[in-house]
Amino acid sequence: MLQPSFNKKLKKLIIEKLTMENNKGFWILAPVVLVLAIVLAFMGNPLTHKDVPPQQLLLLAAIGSHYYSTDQVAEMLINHDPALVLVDVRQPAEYEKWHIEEAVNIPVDSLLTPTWYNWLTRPGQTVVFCSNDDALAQMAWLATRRLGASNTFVMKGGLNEWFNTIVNPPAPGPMADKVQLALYTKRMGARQHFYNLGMVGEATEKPKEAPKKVVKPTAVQHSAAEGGC
Amino acid sequence: MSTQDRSKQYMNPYLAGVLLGLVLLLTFYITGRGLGASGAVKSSVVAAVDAVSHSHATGSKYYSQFISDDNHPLNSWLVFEVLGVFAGAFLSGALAGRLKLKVEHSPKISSRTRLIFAGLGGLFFGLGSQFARGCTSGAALSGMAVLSLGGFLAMIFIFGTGYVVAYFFRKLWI
Amino acid sequence: MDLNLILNTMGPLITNGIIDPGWNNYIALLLGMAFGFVLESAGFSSSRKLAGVFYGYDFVVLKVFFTAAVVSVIGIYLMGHLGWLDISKLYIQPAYVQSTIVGGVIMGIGFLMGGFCPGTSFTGVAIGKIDAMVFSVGMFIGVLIFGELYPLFENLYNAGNLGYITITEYFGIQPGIFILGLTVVALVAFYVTAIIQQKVKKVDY
Repeated sequence: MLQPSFNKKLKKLIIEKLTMENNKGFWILAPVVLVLAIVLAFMGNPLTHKDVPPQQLLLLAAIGSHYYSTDQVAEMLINHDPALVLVDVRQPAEYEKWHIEEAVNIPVDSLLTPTWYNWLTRPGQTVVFCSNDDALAQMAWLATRRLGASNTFVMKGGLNEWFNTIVNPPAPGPMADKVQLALYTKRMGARQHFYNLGMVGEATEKPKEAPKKVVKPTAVQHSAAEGGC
Repeated sequence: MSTQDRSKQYMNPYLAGVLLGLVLLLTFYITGRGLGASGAVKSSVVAAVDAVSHSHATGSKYYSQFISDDNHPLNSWLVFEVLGVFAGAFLSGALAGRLKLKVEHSPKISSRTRLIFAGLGGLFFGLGSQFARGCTSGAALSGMAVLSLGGFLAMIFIFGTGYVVAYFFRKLWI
Repeated sequence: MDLNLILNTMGPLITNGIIDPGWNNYIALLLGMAFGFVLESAGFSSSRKLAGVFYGYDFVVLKVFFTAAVVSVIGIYLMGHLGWLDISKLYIQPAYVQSTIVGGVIMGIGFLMGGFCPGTSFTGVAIGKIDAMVFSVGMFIGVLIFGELYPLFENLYNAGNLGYITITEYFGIQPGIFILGLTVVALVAFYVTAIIQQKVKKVDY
C-alpha cells in the first residue's frame, strides 16, 4: 500500500524543512521580524518630534504673540536687521506688481517643499510672512509651525496695513498725544526711507517698484549629525 | 564521537544579525550616525601623508579636504570606532580560542597566492571605497538602516559585482 | 515663545545635546567594540567563511547583514514613530550615483580577490590572520593611490550628486511599505539560501 509511506515521507519532508540544519533560529526570527514590519507598515509616516499639537498653536494665535506689526517690520528693515527674512507668500504675479523691498517671494504652494522649508528654518532667522491682508500669511504661519518651525511669524494686517501705516500713515488729529505724534513721525521717516516720498501729501500712486529679491536656497542640509565612512 | 573544534563554533548568524542590528540602532540613537570602517583607513592615509609632507597633503585636492588646522585627522569618530573593533574582535577571538597567527587559505592554493590576492583585494577595496564614499559597513549597512539611496546603491553593486566575478576567482575559494 | 516643551529626551542623544558631544569618541570606541565582538563571533574574521556567500557553501554574510539591516531599520522607524528618535537628524550619505556604482564594482572585485571587506579585515587582524593584515595594507595603498591620482578621478567622484536622499524620497514609496517589502525579501532569501546551502558541496574550512 502506497498511502502510509507517502504520509510518512510528507511528514519527514515538513520536519526537514522546518528544522534545516543550517537554518537554526530562522523560525524564531521570521515571525518576530515580520510582525514588527507589518505593525510598522500600518503606522504610516513617522512624526518628527516637531509635529506640534494644534491646541498649542491656536493658543499662540489667540494670544497674538506670533504677530509683528508693520512698524516693527519697517524698523527691522531700516536697521538692516540680519535676522529678518520677510517672506511674501502671494503668487509671483502679485509679487511682481508690487512688493515690499527686501521681501522674498515664496508662494504658499512652494513654502513646504524641502528646499524652501529647510532654508526658512535655518537657525538664527526670524521669518515674517506677509500677504495682502494677513489671511494667507496666517496659513503659512500655521503650516510651518505645525511642522515644528519655531521662527515664523505674521506681519499683522499684511500689505494692506503696510500701505495704511508706512506708505500713507494717517496724520494725527489735533487731539494727538506725544506717543501718537512720535509714531507718525517715525512712520513718515520710514516712508521717506523706503519710497522717497515727501513729507507732505498722500501717496496716490503706488510707490516705485522695488527690485525683485532673489534668494538661492543652498543645498538641503538634510541632517544635523556628521557621518560618512 | 568527535569533539568539535571549539574555535570553529560561531554564534548563530541570525542571533549575530539581531545583535548587530541592535548595536547599529544604538549607534544611530546615540550619535546620529552609523558604523563604518573604510573612513578610518582614509584618515590613516591622510595622517600619514600629512606627516611625511604637510605641503603635499594640503596641496592635494583630495587629502586637503580632510585636513583641518584644529583637528588631527586621526582624531575622528571612525578611528576610535575602529580601534574598538580591533579590541572587541580580539576579545571575541580570545574567548573562542581563535587567536592564532596564520594565513587562512583554501588547500587548493598556496599561502603565497592567498597573500597576493589578499593584498590586491585590499587595494581594490581601498580604491573602491573612496569612489563610493564608504564600504559594506559604512555605506551599505548603515546606509540601508536609514533607507539611504546611496547605501542601497553601494550594496547592490558590491554584491552584484561579486556574484558576477565569483566564477573567475573560484579557484581561490573552492 | 518656544513650543518645544515635549520630548526633551529625543534621540539622537548627542545631536540633541542630551549627551555631551565630548563623549562621542569614547562612545565610538565602545560601540566599535560591540561591533567587532559580534562580527568576530559570527565568524567574519574568516575570509573563507565570508566568501561562502558567493559560492553557496556558507551564507553567514547574507544572514547577518540582512538581519542587521532589517532589525535596525525597523528599530529606527519604530523609534521615530514613538517619538524617541528624530529621524530627520540621522546622517544619510549623499548619493553620488556614478561614483558609487564605480566604487561598488571595484569593491565587489576586491571582495572576491581578498575575501574581506574593511570591517571584517580588522576583525581578522585582531585575531592574527596574516591574510587580513596584508589586506589592510593593501587598503592603505589603495586609498593612497586614489589620493595621488585624484585629479584623474575628480570629475567622476563628484558627478551625479542627488543629495542626502532616501530610497523613499527618490521612489516615492512609503517607508513602512518599503521596510515590509525588504523584510519579506530578506526572509525569503534566508529560506531559499538555506536550501541552496544544503545542496551545495560542503567545504571544509
